[in-house]
Amino acid sequence: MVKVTLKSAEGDVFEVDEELALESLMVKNMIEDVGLDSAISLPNVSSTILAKVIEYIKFHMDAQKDGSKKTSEEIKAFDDDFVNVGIPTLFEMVLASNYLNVKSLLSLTCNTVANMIKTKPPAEVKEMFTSAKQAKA
Amino acid sequence: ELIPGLPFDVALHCLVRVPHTSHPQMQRVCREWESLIASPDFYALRKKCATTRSAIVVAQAHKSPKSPEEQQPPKGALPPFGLSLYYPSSRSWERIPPIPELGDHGGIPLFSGIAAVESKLFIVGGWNPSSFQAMRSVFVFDFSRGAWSRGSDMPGAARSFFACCAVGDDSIFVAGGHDESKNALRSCDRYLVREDRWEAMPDMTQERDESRGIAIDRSSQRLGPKFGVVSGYGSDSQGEFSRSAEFLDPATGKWSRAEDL
Repeated sequence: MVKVTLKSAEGDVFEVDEELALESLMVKNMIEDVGLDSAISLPNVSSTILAKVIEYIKFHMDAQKDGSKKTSEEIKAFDDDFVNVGIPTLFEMVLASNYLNVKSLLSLTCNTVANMIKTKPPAEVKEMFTSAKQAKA
Repeated sequence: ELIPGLPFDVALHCLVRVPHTSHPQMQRVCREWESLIASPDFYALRKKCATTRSAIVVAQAHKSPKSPEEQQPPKGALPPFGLSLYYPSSRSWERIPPIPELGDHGGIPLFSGIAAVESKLFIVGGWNPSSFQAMRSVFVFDFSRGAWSRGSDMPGAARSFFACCAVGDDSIFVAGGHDESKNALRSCDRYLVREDRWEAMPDMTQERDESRGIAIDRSSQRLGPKFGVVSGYGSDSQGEFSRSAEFLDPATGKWSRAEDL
């Protein structure tokens, strides 16, 4: 199996199967442009978030394979757990999936933000987003 | 910045995914969200991202959920009419709040025209539920605000039992019916939704009281939609419903007839 080397913002190196790397349309375009010889540099994605994105893609690729015993409940439970993080981390995942162009993860993370807005009164929504910004700064 | 920490278009993609039932709340978060959600562009983007929901609107008697004795309206009185919404995607029902201006007898005008354009619902004309007077009013329910407001009144005589239909994505047409002196009408008016303005259309070829309005979608022929008025009767032929219909092409202002329906 062909391997692709991804380099995070901190310079950490992640070696993944080409099949997995191609799930990111951004990485796919890079491979088509520059080939597989050198590491693909992702200066906008931290190691922590890159590891999470890889974990997400790997789980869903395995779940879609023939002979996978994963039920739709198990997949949903994985997704729910995956986005059960603080807002700063959630936003980093939104930004990373947008940058890497991983459609399914972008839609999962954006839906999570939408759900947070849906269930909260206006004052809490405002509070939630401003305090998340302060926490980051 | 719509959401602190997210670029504009990414934040927008989060906001279009919030169901419309939360839009009234979202408009109270900040001014940026308020103007965004009220804008036609936001609706267009939701439509494009397939996050809008189709609903069927039903006008029906809304009995109060009080004790069984109180549920019976006084003899001869009408129960209040209201609007119910059915969402086929979730198989759920909801009620639209009554129009505050109509008071406790409330609900919606009787025999009114009901038309939907984008995220707004229009209650055109009809009889005041307390006085039974024909009204020229236009009540607008904006789903993004979850509230009623008034549009410009219908011009000319207050019509009763007229044809009414939303045509295309910007207009509502009314035609026929009868005036306060029970004269059947040939006239037709168009309401331009975005401009909140009425304009007179050419008269139909005959009077059509109690006619029905329909929209003809001609997008498969790359043509604009037509407004159709089906059947109805003239002042001299009370209750003798015509077997004809006629269709207005708003682009040319010409009516064309269909016979022997």
